[in-house]
Amino acid sequence: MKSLLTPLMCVLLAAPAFAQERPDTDKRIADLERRLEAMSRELEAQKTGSAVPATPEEGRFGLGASAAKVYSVPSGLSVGGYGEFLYEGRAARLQDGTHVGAEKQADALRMVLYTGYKFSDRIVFNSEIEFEHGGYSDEHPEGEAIAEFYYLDFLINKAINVRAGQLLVPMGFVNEIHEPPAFLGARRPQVEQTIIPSTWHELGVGIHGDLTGSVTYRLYLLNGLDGSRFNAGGIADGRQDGNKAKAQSLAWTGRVEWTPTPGVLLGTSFFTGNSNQSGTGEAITTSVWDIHAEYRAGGLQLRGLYTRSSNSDGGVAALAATDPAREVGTRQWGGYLEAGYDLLKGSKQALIPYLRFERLNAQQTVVAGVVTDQSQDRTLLTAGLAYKPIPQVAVKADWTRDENRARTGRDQFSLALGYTF
Amino acid sequence: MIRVLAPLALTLPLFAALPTTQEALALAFPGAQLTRREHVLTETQAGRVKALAQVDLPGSWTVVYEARKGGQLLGVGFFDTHRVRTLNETLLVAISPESRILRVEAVAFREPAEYMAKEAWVRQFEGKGLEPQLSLKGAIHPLSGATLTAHAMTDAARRCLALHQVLYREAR
Repeated sequence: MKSLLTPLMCVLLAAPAFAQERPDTDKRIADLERRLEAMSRELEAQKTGSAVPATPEEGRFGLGASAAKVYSVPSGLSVGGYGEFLYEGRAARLQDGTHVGAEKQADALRMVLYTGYKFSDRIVFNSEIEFEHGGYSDEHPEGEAIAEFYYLDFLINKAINVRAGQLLVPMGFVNEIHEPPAFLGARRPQVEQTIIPSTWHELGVGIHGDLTGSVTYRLYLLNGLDGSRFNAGGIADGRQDGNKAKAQSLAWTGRVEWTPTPGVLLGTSFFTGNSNQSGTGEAITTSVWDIHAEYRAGGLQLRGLYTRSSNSDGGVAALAATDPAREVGTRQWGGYLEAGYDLLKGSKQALIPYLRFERLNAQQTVVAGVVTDQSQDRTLLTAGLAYKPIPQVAVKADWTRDENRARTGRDQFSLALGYTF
Repeated sequence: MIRVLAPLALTLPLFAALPTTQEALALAFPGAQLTRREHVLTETQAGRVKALAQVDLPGSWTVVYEARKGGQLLGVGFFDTHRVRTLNETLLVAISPESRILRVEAVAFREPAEYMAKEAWVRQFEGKGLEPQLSLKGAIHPLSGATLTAHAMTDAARRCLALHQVLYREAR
């Protein structure tokens, strides 16, 4: 009997205690649920970068209440970069059969760091610091360490924003977007190195924005080129790179691009200004313009660019007869067509055979008394293969048949490894 | 001229301003009642999502917004946060009960604004389901000059469609 009573007594004695604990347990569970809910909303806000109101069930859209926006992109630092290594093997024979011996070279071509800082929603700093050919040192002064661009953006609205500082000239495809996985070819198109001398950057100020109908534009006022450094190869050496740039004469540059439908890009750009920075003598009006188009769909990518440039005859002719700048083409032109097709459809990787055909002439016309260098009239055909294990990394190998009217062209094999992040 | 343009410019929306999560939901489901739901995927469900999406799934905890009008489910909004280059963006991917994308809207983009996808490009996702063609080598045209953004957005669309499939169609 005692053995039966003992557990019963225990149950009876414990019952009030359990009855008292249940409300406590419910309260604790409710409290835990409330805490979990608060933490989950906090985590959600952290992840999305934009807080969702605690009572979204009642939330209704109010576009007019822009002042109440919780646009909470934080201020702070952003870092990116890209780089490329290049191996080049030049043929032992020139186009006319002359034996000059093979030439092979490995180059730490570029290592670039992008850094940006968002002071506020309206003021953003952006920069690109580049080390070329392994960097610069006393032992290797042929290398380069340079700030390709660094500017401040003053964001006003979608259509008009102001940019000032060291700016990339918004011409062609490659000058603004030159991360190696973004273009086909182990090397940049020759047209976009000679006629549009990428990478081309100058000091200036301008506006940019997006207009309706998928149109984007940029319009900058820059220091002009330094025409005293022009030569038979073109205007590339006239770039001042923001290095105590002579700003006696300024230049305008701009770009308009239209995307009528995703995958199609149509654009044009220009540069025009006086390249006589001496402040005296006749103006050397340099004008460059291009039209360009791109089509990308499925695995196919097509690109075409046509560009012309001119330097006013009067200004160039006024230079001293012995001045190498007098050999610059008063008219130059170039263009290329490029096609590639990704064979690995259905995969994140990409294997793209590509073909690029280029024609250019940096001395289509010259001033009287200058003999045209026929080697400037070039035709290049590049065939190659790009492999991208991930979109940010590219290995590209190609062969270029490089011919010119002087028959001194030299074919080349190129192998490049590039990345961007 | 400046006197005319300056006040106009300052009254237009800020270039980098994006809709808040609430505004994005209202754009996707105008006039709808929204219900917040949390899901914690089981290991089996997470594996299934990865298998369907063919992309990574960063965690098993997810919050969705169910949109209803007159008691009828119009769709579900998923917020997907992912890395573009070195910084994150967050997208709202609104999905219909039939597992088709209704709308994709960026609510946070921390990379420089020039890497952001244009509205016309983003509209390509509308009406797409979780099929092999939902890729940059399929029905989605690549984005010139912003390859990483295009990849990130396409992956996010696939991930959200797979989540929808597992949570709303296969869980029934």
